[in-house]
Amino acid sequence: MYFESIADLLAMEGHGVFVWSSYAVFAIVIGLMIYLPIAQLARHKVRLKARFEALSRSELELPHKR
Amino acid sequence: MSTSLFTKVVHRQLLLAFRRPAALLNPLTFYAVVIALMPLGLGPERQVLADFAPGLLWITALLASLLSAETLLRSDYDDGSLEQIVTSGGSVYLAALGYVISHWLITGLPLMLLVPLFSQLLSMPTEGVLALVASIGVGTLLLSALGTLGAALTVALRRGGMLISLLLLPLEVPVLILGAGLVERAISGLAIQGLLSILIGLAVLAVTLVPIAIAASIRISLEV
Amino acid sequence: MAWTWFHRLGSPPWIYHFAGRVLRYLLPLTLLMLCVGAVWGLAFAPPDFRQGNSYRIIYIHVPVSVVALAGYYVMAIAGAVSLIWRMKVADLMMRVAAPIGAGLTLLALVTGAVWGKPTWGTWWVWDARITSMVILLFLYIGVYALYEAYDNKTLAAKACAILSLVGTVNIPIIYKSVDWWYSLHQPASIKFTGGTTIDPSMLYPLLLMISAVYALYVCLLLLGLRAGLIDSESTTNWVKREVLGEH
Repeated sequence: MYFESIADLLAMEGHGVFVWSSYAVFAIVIGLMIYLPIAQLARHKVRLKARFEALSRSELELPHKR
Repeated sequence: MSTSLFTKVVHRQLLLAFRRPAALLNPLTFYAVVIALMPLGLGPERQVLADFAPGLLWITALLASLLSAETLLRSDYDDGSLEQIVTSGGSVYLAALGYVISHWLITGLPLMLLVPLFSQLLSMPTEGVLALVASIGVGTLLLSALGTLGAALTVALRRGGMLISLLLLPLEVPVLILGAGLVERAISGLAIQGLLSILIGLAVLAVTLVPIAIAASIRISLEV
Repeated sequence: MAWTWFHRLGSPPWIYHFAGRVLRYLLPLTLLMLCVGAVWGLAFAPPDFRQGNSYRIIYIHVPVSVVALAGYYVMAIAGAVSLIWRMKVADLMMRVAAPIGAGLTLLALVTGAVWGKPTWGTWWVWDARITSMVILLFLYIGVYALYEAYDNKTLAAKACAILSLVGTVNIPIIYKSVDWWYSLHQPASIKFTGGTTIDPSMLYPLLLMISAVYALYVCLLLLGLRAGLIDSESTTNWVKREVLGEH
């Protein structure tokens, strides 16, 4: 490790603010970009499950695609 | 068909422009107004204006081209002429080429002829005038090609307005860079043949290939 | 026989399940690579002679820039495939690639700006790379805006495919002209390694991060694809089976 201590790692000879904020923005944006489609998929599944169950209760036929 | 769709479209567009001179005069008037605004915004000092003149003249050309692109195909779309062209069985590519060339004849060519006048409003050094005329003449050909493409993609959309500028400006950046750069080089006394050849090459590429995309876009817009 | 494989790619249920299987391993691997690369670049790579420690931003700025540019080509190729073979999956992939690419480009711009402050003294510098990135961002936003402007999404995909393809041809021209423009107006450019080759101790973490962000891009594409497929194919039987938990 090129730094003497954790304090040095955080400070990075004065440039710490820039480096750490970049990495933080990176982590946040990447995290968001991973999370959003996963959450969207889960939402779709919940919504469609409710719809399919409601439809099968009313005994309607779905168009056969596959 | 004795005459191709290309000739028919060019003939029609020129006839319409002739009957309705606003198509020709509006872009030029817009150009003049914006150029006149430059000293008001930047201050009347000749050296400042002269330094920025190539860039200002070119940016204004871009904006004027965008403005005229918006309504380029709209009237033909609205009255069904576009549909007639596609269903006529003729080559939509040639029709698209016709739109590009006629747009240039109506907006680019007049600008090319009048731009020396505008350049003097900004006290641009006269060494650059010839380069300016050449770059505007060739560059507006590129802008017409891209502008017609933007028009074809957005003509069927209800809220097309700002979209066409957003789509076209990134694509038009090389034209701006090369055009303004050409003029600045000429003012500094350097040779411009190389750059001009590149610009001409790009224009030829655009005029031959972009109508393919325009034709496809017209078909898409007609299906909306 | 090669074509059956290709056409299988166009089958939504096959792609959905294939993507799921790939993600199960690729996503954790990607996160691991990102963490290792970041830690390596932050703490274990030597500081730069000229820039000190602020150069460490390179370990996110460069990978993100590279993948943002490559992502445009992915989007354009998906568009071309969708135009030529009329594949719904390709449509969707193009639509998913646009915001991912835009997000990465934005990240590249932000990290570039933050890097610029200690290096050049200002928050924003119109250097060749950053200027090209700004234009790339607008190209991405343009494709996305065009897609949203069309109500009919099949037509939207076709229009966006055309726009992306025109943009693809234009991108090398844009980059070359911006490079030339920058050399015209810049008296002396500050290069990161000053013309010499980059030291291996700095290169390896960089390569790792680049691979990691590429892997991340694939993950994001597959994740978006899965979400989009469930939504657009919601009336089909395979979705019904998937959603109701029957496998």
